[in-house]
Amino acid sequence: MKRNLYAFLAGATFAFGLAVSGMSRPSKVRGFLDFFGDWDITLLFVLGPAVGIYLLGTRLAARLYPKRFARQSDPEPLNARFFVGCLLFGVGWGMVGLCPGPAMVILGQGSVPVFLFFGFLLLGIFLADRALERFSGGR
Amino acid sequence: MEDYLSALIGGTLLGGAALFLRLALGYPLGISGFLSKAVSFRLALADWRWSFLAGMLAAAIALVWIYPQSISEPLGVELWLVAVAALLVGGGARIAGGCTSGHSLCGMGNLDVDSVVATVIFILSGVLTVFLMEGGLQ
Repeated sequence: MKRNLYAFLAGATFAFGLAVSGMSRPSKVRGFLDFFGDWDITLLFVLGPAVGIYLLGTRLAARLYPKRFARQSDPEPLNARFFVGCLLFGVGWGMVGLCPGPAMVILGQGSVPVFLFFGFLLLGIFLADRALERFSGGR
Repeated sequence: MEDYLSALIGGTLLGGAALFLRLALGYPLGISGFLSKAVSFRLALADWRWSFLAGMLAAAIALVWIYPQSISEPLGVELWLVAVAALLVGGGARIAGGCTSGHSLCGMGNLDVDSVVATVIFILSGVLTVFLMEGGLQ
């Protein structure tokens, strides 16, 4: 029960973070990706503290409680499958300016395009999951 | 200026939420991974991940009243492009083993080489896509 409460709070905080940071505005994300046009660098100021807090926090916890919070890592193999997946993701991200978290956060907009995006997002995850299961044992 | 302040506050909330989840539950935060467990009928694996997604949805609904400007922007492209993009984002994230949250936030925050590589490819292919859609070299 406690775990569910913590997860709920983390999910809500994360969603508010996406909204406040501007990540839930497609034009903002596409502006960040528009290196050769009117490049908007503000999203770097989202990534910086986010990664920094996570990095410092996990390191500090690992130092204070080495047994409980030891660093864990389960890296993806850097093979063709991985590179293709990253490339497909980046192309889709650039096309609309939405990644999975923000796509959930803007569901309250209640518009057809937003529901369509979220539906096809789930479909894409589901299909890729089935394909991986079939051809490479789930990885 | 205000944009930079919102960026810093938003980034702090994102990093704080991810750190809290990692310490309280022992797992990195990855939206596409959570969604994948939810849609793939691995219900037992989804467990607390359902609560995380419910928290996100609750916040999404609250935003309609408390901060509608953050969620009201139209997607700005035709519907078939929206569908294709969403398939690519969902499928690509699952194949790459993570999306912007799992790789670019937690993975990079864990100094995982694969996540740094993933983030660089996400951004470069996104940049190329925007460049081509905005008219390319014309």
